[in-house]
Amino acid sequence: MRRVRFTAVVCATLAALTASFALLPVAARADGVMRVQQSDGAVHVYHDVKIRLAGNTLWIHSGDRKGVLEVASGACSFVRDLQRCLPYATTLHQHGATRSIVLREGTVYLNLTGDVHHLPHSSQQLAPHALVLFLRTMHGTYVSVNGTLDEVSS
Amino acid sequence: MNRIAHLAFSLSVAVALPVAALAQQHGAPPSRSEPPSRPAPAVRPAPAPVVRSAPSGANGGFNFNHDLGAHGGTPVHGSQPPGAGTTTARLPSQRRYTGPVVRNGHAPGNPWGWNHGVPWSPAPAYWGGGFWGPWAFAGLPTAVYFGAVPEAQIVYPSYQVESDSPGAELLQDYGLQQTPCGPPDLVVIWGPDNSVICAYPNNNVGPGNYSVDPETFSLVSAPPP
Repeated sequence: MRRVRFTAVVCATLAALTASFALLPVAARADGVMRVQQSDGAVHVYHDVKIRLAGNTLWIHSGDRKGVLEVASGACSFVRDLQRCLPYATTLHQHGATRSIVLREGTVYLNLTGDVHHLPHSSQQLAPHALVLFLRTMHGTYVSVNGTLDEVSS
Repeated sequence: MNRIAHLAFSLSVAVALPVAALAQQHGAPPSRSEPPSRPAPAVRPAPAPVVRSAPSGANGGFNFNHDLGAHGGTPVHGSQPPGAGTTTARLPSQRRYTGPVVRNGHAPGNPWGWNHGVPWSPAPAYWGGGFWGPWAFAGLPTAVYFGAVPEAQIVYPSYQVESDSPGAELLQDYGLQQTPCGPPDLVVIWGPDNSVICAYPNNNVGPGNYSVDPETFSLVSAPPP
């Protein structure tokens, strides 16, 4: 009888945990952080950005849903388990206008696996389904994005 | 048994409620308790305050006023709306020889197997499309110059291959060591977008011109003259 009760309690606990984890993906949504440092030193940090990957293009939505930064990448290859791509075109969709931002260079690392992996030559780790993006524009603006992919489509 | 069911329900609610609250906090629309026109929070650098013109993102969204300039940057015509799909890279201009293939014994047999089955396409704005490393054309002065190959009155510059690049993996597969282009009797490898690198010949690859077949990750030699 005691064993039956113990099993029931374990099942109940598992059910409770399952119920809570079912809500976790929602909690993990749009947790990206984008940092923009312009050439005059001004820094803006945007929280709760949503990150969508469609093919080799990243769509980064501002937390207020008023701006979208489109980052097109190519040359995607793998450095051990992480995918590394090179951004070559950036477009800002905002306030009803679409403007290109001329890029100088950039790199994006994507962890499309379910495990944590180290960035190459770095002690920094990349969580499952997470990315880090670094951009430098022709006008000397540095952009970095950290976060979890909210959507992935081919 | 009723007590157990009651306990399970209580536990579910106790655990799920804070998480749901957290989810609402993160996933809430921007209008949550703050005016929608509020700009993103700014982190000011410690040095002297920066005098800033009104940011273009003052009505929300992102602030790229320096890059967009007084005229609001370069308008893009015919662009897809956000979320419509993917941006396609331009077609690569790649030299493709039709001579004998020097098989890559280390590459998996399946197409794009060397790249986890993912097709590789060049990234415009990078030398060699990024095959030899993340060397953007705008940043090439910082790349290590590795000689050049003159051909038909055009001089093709070469740069040092980055250690984590696909090109470095290709050289490693063939046991080749890169060397500056220029001297005769080298292995001359033409990569994507008319990029070129040179290596010392070895037992696997003799001197001469080769192109890269990115799908099979192998070298294709130039047909004999």
